[in-house]
Amino acid sequence: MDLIPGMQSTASALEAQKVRLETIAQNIANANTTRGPNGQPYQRQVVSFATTLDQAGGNGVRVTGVNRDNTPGPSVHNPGHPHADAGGMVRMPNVNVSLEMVDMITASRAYEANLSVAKTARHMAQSALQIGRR
Amino acid sequence: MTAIPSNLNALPLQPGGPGNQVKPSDATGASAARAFEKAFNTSLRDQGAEAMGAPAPVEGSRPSLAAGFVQEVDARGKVADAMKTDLLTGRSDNIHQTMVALQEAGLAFSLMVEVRNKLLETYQELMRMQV
Repeated sequence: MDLIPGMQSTASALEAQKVRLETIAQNIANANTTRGPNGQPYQRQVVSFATTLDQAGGNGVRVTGVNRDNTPGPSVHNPGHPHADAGGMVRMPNVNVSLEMVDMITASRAYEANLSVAKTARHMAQSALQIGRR
Repeated sequence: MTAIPSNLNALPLQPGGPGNQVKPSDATGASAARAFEKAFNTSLRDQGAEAMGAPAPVEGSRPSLAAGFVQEVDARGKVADAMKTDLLTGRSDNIHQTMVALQEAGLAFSLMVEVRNKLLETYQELMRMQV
């Protein structure tokens, strides 16, 4: 058991939000990538979280995977594009930058909330040491 | 974690309580001090062991309060130091676990200092008793 209460859960949550932000960064960076290493347009990636049940009684969060979202992206008519097919249509990635920005704000707020928990827990533990002090 | 040690009743500072071991005719008070120290050590060691996650007791000799605490605090300090070095040299990128380990090592050390202060205070209080 930790000296500082709940620290294990909070640390795992901070790590999970960090992975989520990395995924969002990857999505936004590739929002206009029409050709990936497999020859297909970029498909946006989604993280999935699951809870862990630690033996010592503390829960936590773990990232169960970074999966690809396989819904096809929009096709745009752009005959001058080097990756245009015979009809002049280019398949774009299925990344909606506005949605990714909102996800980024959510991840950032969740991260700040967990940081606040960590700070409060540490303060509580340190205050407990004042009990014996005159 | 027990809030109050269960063998508090054995402490000799409660007049008329059960298991009172203070004898008015005890000239030096040494036996009272020994009994108190034994009870205090056991209760604090148990509580400290619970707080620190119950390190394995040494076979054969009973570890004193100071040795048990210091070993546990030292172990935490070493773990924190290793994680910090890994993070700084780039072998690990887990900044959160490193910070948690550093905080816990600092807190464990503060706890040890508080326990030591309390013990010293108790000893001085005992020594101040009139014979």
